[in-house]
Amino acid sequence: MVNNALHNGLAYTYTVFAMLFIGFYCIFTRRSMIRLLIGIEIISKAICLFIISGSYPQGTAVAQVLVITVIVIEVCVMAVGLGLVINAYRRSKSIDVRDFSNLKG
Amino acid sequence: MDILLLVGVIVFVACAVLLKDMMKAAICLMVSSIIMGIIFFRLHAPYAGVFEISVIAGLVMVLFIMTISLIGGDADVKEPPVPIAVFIFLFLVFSLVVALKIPGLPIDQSRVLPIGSVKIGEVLWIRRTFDIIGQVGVIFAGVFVLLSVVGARRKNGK
Amino acid sequence: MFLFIFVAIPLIVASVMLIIERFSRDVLPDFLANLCFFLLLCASIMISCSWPGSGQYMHILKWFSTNLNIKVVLDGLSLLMIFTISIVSLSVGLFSINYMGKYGSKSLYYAILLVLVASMNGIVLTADLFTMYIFIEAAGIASYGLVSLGRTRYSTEGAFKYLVLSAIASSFILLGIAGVFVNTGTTDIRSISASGFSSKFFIILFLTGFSFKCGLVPFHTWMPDAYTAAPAVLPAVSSGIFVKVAGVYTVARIFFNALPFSAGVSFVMVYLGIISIVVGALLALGQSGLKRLLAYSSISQVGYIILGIGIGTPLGIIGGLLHMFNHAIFKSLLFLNAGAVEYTCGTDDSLKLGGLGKNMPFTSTTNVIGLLSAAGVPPLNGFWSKLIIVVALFKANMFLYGFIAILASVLTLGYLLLIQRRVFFGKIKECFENIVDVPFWMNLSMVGLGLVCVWVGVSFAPILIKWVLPAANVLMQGIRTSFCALGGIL
Repeated sequence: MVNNALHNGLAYTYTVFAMLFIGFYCIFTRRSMIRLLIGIEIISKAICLFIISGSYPQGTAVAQVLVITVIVIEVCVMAVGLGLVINAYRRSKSIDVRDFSNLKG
Repeated sequence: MDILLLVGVIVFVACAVLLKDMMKAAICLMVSSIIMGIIFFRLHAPYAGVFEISVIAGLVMVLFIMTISLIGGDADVKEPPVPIAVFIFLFLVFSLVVALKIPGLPIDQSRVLPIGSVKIGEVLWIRRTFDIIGQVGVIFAGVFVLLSVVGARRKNGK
Repeated sequence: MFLFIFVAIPLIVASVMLIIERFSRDVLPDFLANLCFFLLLCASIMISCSWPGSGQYMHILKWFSTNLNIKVVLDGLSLLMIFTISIVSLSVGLFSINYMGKYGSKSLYYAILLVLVASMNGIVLTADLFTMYIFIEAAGIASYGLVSLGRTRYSTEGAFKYLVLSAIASSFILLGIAGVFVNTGTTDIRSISASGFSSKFFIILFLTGFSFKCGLVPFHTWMPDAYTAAPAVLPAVSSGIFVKVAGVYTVARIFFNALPFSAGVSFVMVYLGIISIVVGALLALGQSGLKRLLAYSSISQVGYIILGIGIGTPLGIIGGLLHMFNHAIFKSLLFLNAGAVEYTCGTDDSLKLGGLGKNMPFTSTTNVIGLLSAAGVPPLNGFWSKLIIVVALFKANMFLYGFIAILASVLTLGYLLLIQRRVFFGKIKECFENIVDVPFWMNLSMVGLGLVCVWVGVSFAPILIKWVLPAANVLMQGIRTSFCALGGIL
């Protein structure tokens, strides 16, 4: 962000986009179910950084509230995802997404 | 100092994606969360920082490590043998594109935000109370779904 | 206080649900959940009767002498959605009294369903983008749970695939909301439109994210897999209301009330709509599984809705909104019929079934009503909405798209009639000769939805005037302010 109050504003924007790229790379090229969840986690961290660094320093109260809520939502989604991983493992002893051969899309 | 922290975050996140061992990947993600919490603190957002550290570097990592331990050796799924060079190449291409396009993005205007002198507690509980109801809904949904997915097997369960 | 019950009561009943499971496994959860849905339906009808036709209700709650600021906003569009949500949720609730008996813990199922309904009510009753996002996530988590309740081999995999794709879509949406917040300092819809912010990058992010939620092509891949892996109540709720609330309603809010509605957005929406209509109809042709075919048909029909709303003219918006209401009714009916077939015969593969119409008369008749409605045959409700959309297309000089819409309608009639003939008419197979009809509550809910189809079709003017026109007015206000500059298509 080319923001007068924030030195190195561009660096923060670049970090956000780099983390987004790494997160999407993880989701699209990895085969383990747990790694897909790690990718989702990375993307939401990037968005949190975007919210906080983009509203520096004036709007930080509202920005912090947004980030706290996003973190809570992420925890619930992760928990449900990991529960599904455990369920899938109990059923078929494999957490490889390429084994989802029944799903054709 | 800030640049160092940002570079640290990117490096650890990349390690979390590229490392083959699942436990090490989870620990790299935890370290990157801690660094992210420090970055939030330096950006004058202490509550977000402490939440990030305690919830993500704490709670989510515990969940991950519990799951990885439960699954055991089968957690290390054989990944396709894409060399790291491909990742680095794509990353450099992406950096180039971003470097060219960032100045054109409307990420900053010379906007006039109200100077925030309100306390975060008042914003969360008084100004945005519907968000708290929403979070309650999310937590209920998560709890009930987890109960149905991983819960104790009942007599006529699957 | 009154509007808040739409969100509060389902959540309270859901939290009580687990406790009462100790005392009664079947009767008390059924009764409580359906009573809750019935109360919400009565409340929505009462609000509609006293609705002045324009403007909005805004309730700000104050509890225990602190100024809690729960701002619940209801305007014409929200009223239409609340009404739709209550009708479909009551039907699904009645249906699941018998249907979910075979699936394990019924009270847990009702708890998840109640959280889903509460979250959908929360999405439409708020005027703040971020609150909308929170409730979309809550409803999404509930949907993943409902998918994984299915008893097929691949329920867990379907739920996981749905989770990952939906989380990607949500991250796009959240990135868009974060961008809007960083640029305008607020997430309130009124303030965003007052500040006049608009940016192609974030518009593309929003459109991508919400197209996932709608199931528009090319982001439709989660729908057939999630719907076949789930018990039939999930597609009825999801395709009936959740896709529209989280997809169409939010798109309408953001692009008509928050960000200005430009000709580019209109073009993209029309284009995505037409492609979804065609691809959905073509992909449905070769399917033999009932739920899979209905999932592709849903993709096609949501294309009609987005097409209608995307045209931007008053007639187009009215057609799109009316089709949204009609599709909720007839698609839920069709999915519940598929669920009834699955309940009695254990399979929904149409190649293995046949001649069920003798033993399941109500299911067969309501299926005929549903499919005629879906294909747009007069005098049922689907006919009116498709007619209005086609007329709007012709009036906006998009003749090619109008013809494509009509052709796709004929295709819809074709594949749905084929399924009807295969499953309900014809000779009955030996293994199914002794099946009995579905239980009373399932019949009641299917007949109820069928009657609504017929009633809306025969006397559709009251529906139009009371619910659709105020909703269309809300959207038109957004257009008026932005199309003045372009000398628009009005």
